[in-house]
Amino acid sequence: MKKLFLCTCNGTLNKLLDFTRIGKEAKAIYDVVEVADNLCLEEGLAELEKGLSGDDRLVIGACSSQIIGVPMKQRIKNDLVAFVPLREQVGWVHLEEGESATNKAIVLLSDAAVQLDYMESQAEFTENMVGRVLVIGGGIAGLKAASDLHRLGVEVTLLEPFKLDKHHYLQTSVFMSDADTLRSEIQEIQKTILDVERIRGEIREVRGQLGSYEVTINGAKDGSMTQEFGAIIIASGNQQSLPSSAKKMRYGKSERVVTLDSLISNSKKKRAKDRSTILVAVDFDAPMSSVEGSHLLRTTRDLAARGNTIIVVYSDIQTEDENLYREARDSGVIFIRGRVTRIKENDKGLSCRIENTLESMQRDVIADRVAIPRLIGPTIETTQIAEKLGVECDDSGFIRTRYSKMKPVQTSRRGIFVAGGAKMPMSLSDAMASAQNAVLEAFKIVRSPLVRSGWIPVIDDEECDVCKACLDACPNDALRLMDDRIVHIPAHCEFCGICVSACPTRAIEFQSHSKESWFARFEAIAATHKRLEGKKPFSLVFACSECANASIDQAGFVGKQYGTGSYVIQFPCAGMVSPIEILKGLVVGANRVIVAHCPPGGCHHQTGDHLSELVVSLTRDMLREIGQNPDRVRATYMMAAMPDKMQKEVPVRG
Amino acid sequence: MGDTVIVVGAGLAGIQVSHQLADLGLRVHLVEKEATVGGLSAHLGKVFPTDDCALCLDACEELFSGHHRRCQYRSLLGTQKKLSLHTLTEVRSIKHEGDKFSVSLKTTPRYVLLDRCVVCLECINVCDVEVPDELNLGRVLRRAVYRPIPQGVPLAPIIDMNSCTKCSKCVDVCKVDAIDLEQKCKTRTIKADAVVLATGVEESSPSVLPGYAYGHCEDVLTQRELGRLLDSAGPSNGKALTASGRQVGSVTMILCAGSRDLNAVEYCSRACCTYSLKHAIMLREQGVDVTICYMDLRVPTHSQSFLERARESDVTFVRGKPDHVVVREGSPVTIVEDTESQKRLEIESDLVVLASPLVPHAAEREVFNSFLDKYGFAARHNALKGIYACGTSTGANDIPGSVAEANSVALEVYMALKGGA
Repeated sequence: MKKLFLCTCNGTLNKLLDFTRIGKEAKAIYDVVEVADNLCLEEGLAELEKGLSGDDRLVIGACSSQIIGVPMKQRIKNDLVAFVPLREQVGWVHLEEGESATNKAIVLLSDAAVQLDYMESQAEFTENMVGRVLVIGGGIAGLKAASDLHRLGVEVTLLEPFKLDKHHYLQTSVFMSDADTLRSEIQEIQKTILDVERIRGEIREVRGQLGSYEVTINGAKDGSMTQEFGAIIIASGNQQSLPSSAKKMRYGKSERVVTLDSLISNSKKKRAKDRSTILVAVDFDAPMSSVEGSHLLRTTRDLAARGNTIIVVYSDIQTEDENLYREARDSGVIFIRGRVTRIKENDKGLSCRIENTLESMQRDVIADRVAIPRLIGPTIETTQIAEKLGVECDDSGFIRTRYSKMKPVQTSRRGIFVAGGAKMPMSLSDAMASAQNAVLEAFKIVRSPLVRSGWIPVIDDEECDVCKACLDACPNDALRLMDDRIVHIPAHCEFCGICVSACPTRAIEFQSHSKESWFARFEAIAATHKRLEGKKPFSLVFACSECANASIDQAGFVGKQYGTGSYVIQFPCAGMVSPIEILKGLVVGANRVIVAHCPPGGCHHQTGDHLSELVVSLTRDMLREIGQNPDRVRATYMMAAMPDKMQKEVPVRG
Repeated sequence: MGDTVIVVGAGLAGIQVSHQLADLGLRVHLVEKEATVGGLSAHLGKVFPTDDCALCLDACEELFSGHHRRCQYRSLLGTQKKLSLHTLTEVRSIKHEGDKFSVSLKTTPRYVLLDRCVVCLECINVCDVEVPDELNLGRVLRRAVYRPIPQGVPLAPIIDMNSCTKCSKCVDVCKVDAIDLEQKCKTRTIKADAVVLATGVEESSPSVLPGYAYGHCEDVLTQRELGRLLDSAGPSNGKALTASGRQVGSVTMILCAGSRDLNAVEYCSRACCTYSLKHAIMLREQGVDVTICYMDLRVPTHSQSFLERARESDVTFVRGKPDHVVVREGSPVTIVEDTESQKRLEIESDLVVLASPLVPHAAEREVFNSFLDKYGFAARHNALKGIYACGTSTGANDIPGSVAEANSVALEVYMALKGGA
């Protein structure tokens, strides 16, 4: 049976909306209509439970599904449920328009009834995870990750693509911390990973998916081997290189121009009488990370403390420890803001011209040596590993993480994480924390079978001409080509539906969200609207279920009023919207169709914001071509921090 | 070993560490002294590096498997089986007993019962006491029963007993009996196996720096206060207005106002350069002229785009730390020596905004004193085994840094309690 449960929310919603009329209208389309006062409280949930049998299809007309949905899901087993947020998206935002608001509620309830007709149970998956984790890279982050996983009882393979001994660790990681801390930390970790499986070699091929990545490694000694891993951690570190300005500083031409790091190792051997004037020329144009800044301050401080005269020519110095700056100054380091524009060598030494941006003047300084700090960049191995593993890198070649604010180690591919300097220059403590982040994520994957449920894309092999557009579009690598068929990988799927809009033959339909279902729903909305509101204009808002829907809910919470005749239809992701749905919206009579997505770069499924903009722009071009007004279709972003977005988009009705 | 963890402070780091620990199967008590969670982020609206909501949370697996992030109001914090949220609750003492900690908590009344309230907001509608809303610079009014922030979790309102007249109109209108004006303070003691400090930071008040006219001129604000003005859910719907309600035409920002200074706060607060740039860009979008006075621009690698966008949108940069701000004809004038041109500038603007340093909450100092350094920050691992800290309680940091630290501490706590350490 098709049942509707309405909630008055403590007897308040029925003051804003005409529940009698809603009830009367609803009885024509639902088998049962019940009205509760407090559906979210214990008594309301009990009432709901009593009024339901297992195979009922259900519509809840109450507060936002985000609020009522969860306690309800914990309580009742029916999975064919549609929500109409009568409170946040109708009552609270149309306070002055009682009658039209009631009409809007009825329209949305008629839409929900149609939605139920097309609704299928969510697919459920349980997949076993391989218990072993592959850690690539034997630098500090890699060692830490392998050591922690081992201590957690997880089987680990540590692949060291290049040979590193303790001396190398110190050298390659010199910028991470002061040498003593670094040395003791390395010793500490090396103790704990004695019985971790360590292999040397290079990755040849990676197949499979989260929970069972099949990795083939060309070993140095014993030929190639293939093994399965539940998760992979990339810790291929970074390396230091000379800035492009080094040549201009006569590096390679004059023996007196050296790297800053070579000076530290040399100066230890020298005696006091070898004190000299050293000019440190920082690359003026490359932004300096705080790790590089701290390293610069530490080394110049130490060089100055040994009696050298140190002049640092720089633009901005970042450091995580302000005291380093003070210590460097206190030990006599001279800081000049500016750039070295010319270096000439004569018998006295190096004559360096400094363009001092502070004093807007030039001056020449004679130095015994010029030291150039090296810049930190990704290792060549990182790029190669990323390519083999199919994960994205940023413009400088560091591994890109999925969402810079809250996903510190998640790469673009599920089950593959990045730890340490392969992501960006990191200090020792940040690199260790980063390794722990990766361990935590990998551990959560391998420790128990993956259980997931959701509506999934269904591929019609008859219609599919294997053009692979969906493979390219899927941001999560959840569709693969196997034996000339497109196959769905549930462990990777985020149930966003982006593949649907990418398919040129519509051979992919998303469960419960087929083209037919959209058409039927839009028609129901248009018909009910026309019956109740006559010729008054209306608009359809295709809102993604993440940021856009949250923004529309928040408009309710802060009471941002907007026009009625605005029907919000929730899509799993705005990237699922294709021109077909937009045009159908216009055909049924909508004055405007607005596609609302997450803020730029903030799509929860990575690409939906960008794709929906493209789809809308394409549709606008089509409208323009046939002489229609393209402004009837718009794409915009919405987010909870901007609850005024609906008001801006739909200031008046339609 | 037991498995109970107390997390003190429900800002982004506290929530993150609690979610992770609960997902790993530990029993978590998340203690927050305010009425709603979110901490400093709740004041910020949009945040870097992603230029989206401050209140976005990493979704817990128990409720949202397969979803990455959830808005704060949609995160249903505390509905997980293993996670209890205690709002309006302060830690009174932490006693070390054997290998456990005995943590004494005091909960002040909300006067609205969380397990009964349906958030219909009728109590707010009938309340006729109006007082200035401190969270919104006192520029708008709120009722005695109110919701501090729109997304605030728990969603239920709170009653401010200092201004409530006990007229009982809200009690009468609440048909679900969710209001109890006689609610009392409660104390309880929890035995915990580990304690995670995620007490965070607050923006220090620049009133200790008399040179900047903060407190004398209402158009001298801090960056957090400007953030409230620019928040489209804030007091002026996102418009930059002066205290007298006039549209702002020009803004001067003073970075490092009271930080990196041996006479004030010694350290660098790390986040302020970037959020100042974020605000500058938002102001430029409204056509407001922006001048930024700075010593060094310290923008982390992941946020370089903010610096580029600020430069592209014609923000004026002046290298130099202003000596002082004077008030002329009611408007603030910034006196600064431009160290590049070596000229002394007097910059007139409608608003002066100070990037005030981020400092640890003073209130916690007493209880946690033995775990804190001279600045009031805690070490990630305390010398006393079982006490951890993450987020900005270990030092001023930005959101990505806080989240990463929270995850790493979650793993350490798990390993210490469940084996592996």
